[in-house]
Amino acid sequence: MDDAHVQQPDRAPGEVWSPPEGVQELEHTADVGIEVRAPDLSALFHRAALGLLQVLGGEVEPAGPLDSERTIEVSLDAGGTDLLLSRWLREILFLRETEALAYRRAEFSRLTSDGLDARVVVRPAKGNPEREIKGVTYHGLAVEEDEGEWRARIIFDL
Amino acid sequence: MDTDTALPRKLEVVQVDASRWLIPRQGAMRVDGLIFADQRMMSDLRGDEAIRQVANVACLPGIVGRSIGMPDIHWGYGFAIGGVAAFDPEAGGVISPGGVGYDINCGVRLLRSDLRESEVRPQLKRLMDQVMRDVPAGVGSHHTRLRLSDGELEAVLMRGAAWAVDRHMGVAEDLDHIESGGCLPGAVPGDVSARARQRGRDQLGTVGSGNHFIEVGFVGEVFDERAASALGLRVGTVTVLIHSGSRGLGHQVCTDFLDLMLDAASRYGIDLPDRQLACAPLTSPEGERYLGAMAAAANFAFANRQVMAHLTREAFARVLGRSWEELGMGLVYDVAHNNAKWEVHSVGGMDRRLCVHRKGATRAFPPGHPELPDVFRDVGQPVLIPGDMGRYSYVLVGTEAAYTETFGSTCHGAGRLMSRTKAKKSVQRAGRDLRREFGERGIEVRAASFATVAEEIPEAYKDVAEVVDVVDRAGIGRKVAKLLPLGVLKG
Repeated sequence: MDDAHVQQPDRAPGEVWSPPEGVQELEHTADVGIEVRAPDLSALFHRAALGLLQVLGGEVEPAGPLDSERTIEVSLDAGGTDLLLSRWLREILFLRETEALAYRRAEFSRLTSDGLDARVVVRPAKGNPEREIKGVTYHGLAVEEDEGEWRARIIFDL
Repeated sequence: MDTDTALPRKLEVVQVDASRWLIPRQGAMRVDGLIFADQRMMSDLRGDEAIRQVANVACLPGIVGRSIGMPDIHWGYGFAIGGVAAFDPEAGGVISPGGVGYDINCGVRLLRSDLRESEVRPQLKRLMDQVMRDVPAGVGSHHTRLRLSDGELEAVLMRGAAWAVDRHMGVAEDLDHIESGGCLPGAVPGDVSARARQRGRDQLGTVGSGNHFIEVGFVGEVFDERAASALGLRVGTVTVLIHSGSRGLGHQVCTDFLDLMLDAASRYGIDLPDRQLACAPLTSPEGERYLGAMAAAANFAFANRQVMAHLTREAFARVLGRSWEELGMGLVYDVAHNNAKWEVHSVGGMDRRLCVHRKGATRAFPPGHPELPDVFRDVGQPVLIPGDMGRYSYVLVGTEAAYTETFGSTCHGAGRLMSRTKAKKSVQRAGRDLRREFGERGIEVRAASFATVAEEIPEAYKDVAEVVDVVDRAGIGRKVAKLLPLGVLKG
C-alpha cells in the first residue's frame, strides 16, 4: 500500500455500540471465530480488530474520554497476509488483555503481505471483557481477495 | 500440504466394537486412528472436524501406535480436543505446541473432607461468598497481594507446586498427590518470553474464565469401595474440584512458539495438514526450547492450582470455624489434561521413551506404576473427570488397558456439543434466569460474569456419564465415585 490509510472508528463517540460492519461470528464447537469482509486490506485489518473486541464482549465500548487516547507504534513482519493478520490480532489482544488498552483505529504507513507499520490509537478500557481469548489460532486461517473484496476467517481459542 | 490432497475427502471409518472406531491408515496417515465412542457420539461427530483432526495428527512424523480420540472428543484447532498421540524421538518424532494447547497443563484437582453435606448446606451461601472473595475469578482476574517479583516468578517456573508449599500454601504431603509431584523437570524459564511473564505475573492463584471453575460438592455415589476408600472418599462427604491452568503465561508461551514452530516445520521439511499442527523434531533446538518453556508454564499451572487450593481451604476454615486440617481437607489428586510428557511405553514389544501429547486427555496410569505414590499403588492413578456445571463429575482410576492401548490416557471431561454462541443465544431466547434455575436445584452459583454461565449451560455439553461409561466399558478407566455439585464459582 503506497499511501497512508487511516481507519476511522465506525461510530461517533456516544453512539450505542453495535457489531462492527463486515464482521460475522462463526460457529465453532469449542471456540469462536469471525469472518470479516472489507473493501481493502487496511479496512480488513481494522474490522478484524473490532471483531476481536466484539468476541471479547463485555465493555466492548471501551471509551475512556477522547483525551485519554494514545498512540502506539506497531511493526510486524510475516510471511503472508494471513499470518500477518493473525499477528496483528495478537497485538490487539495483548493490548486489551494485558495493558487494558482498547483498540480504536489505526493508521497504516505500510501494509503488505510481508509486514505492516501502524500507528494504533487506543483508549483505556473500561472493566474486564466477558470472555477470555487464549490465542489467535492458525486453524482454518484464511485471507483472500475476490473481485475487489477482501475476506478473512480467524478462529480464536477461548 | 493441503488437507484435501493429504487425506481422502471422505475418510474411511470402521466400527471395531461398541466403544471403538478405527480410522485405517489412508492418504498421508503414518498410523491408524482410533476413536473411543458409542454409536450416538459417533453420529454426533459426523458433521464435525474432529475425526479429520485425528487423521491429520496421524500424518505427523514419528508418530507411533495410533492417533487416539477419547469419547469427549470435539473439534479443536490442530489436534482435536480429546486427542492423544505419542512420538518417538528416534524415529524423527515431533513436538507440537498445538498438540498441547494454549492452556498448558490445564488440569483438575480434588480436595476431600470429613464434612458431611448436611453440615455444609446451611453455610453454603456464606461459604461460596467467601470462596468468591478469596479466589479471583473471571477474565483478567488477578491478585493484588500475590504479584510476583522476577525472582519469585522464576522460582514458580522452576519448582511448580513446591514453590507454594514452601510459602506455607499447602503441605509437603500435597506434592505426593499431584501428577509428576507438581513439577515437570527440564523447565527453562529463560525461554519464557517477557510478554508471557507480563501476562501471568499477577495471575497466580486465579481461576480465569471459560470452562474453569471451583466447585464445592459431595460424594453422591461410590462404585468401587476399595478404591474410594484409598482415595479418602465416602458417600455424603464434601469435596472441592478446582479446574484451571497456566493462565495468560501459558497462553503466551503457546503463541510465541507456534510462530517458531511454523518456521521450523518448513525448515525441517515437515508437511503440515493444518498450520496449527506446527511442530519441530523433538531432538531439534526448536523442539528442545519449546519443551523447556512448556515445562516452565506447566509448573506455573501446578503452582496456580496449589495456591487456589490453599485459598479455598482457608475460606472453608474461616466460614466453618475450624482449621482445614481439622476439616480433613486433604488433597486427593491433581491431574493435568493439556501437556506433552516423556514417558516409557511398550511399542511392538519394546520399551521406548516417547513424548506423549495429551490435548484434552488425562493421564491414567495403572496400579503398580512406579510413578504412583504408595497410597495409590494398588488402585491406580486417580483420574478426575468434571462434567458440566450442574450435573455431576466422576472420579476414576487408571487401568492396565489404558496403559497398553492409549499410552496410559483416558478422557478429560464432558466435551462440548454446542458452540458458546449458540448456548448463549438459547438462554437469551428462552429468557432463562440461570441464577434462579440453579438455586431451585440447590446449587449456589457465583460468577464474575453470568454471560460465561450462559455459555456453560449443561445442555452445551455431552452428558459426562455417557463419556465415562464408554471409557469404563472400553477398560481405559474404571469408575470409582460420582460427585454432585453444591456450589460453583465460575469466571
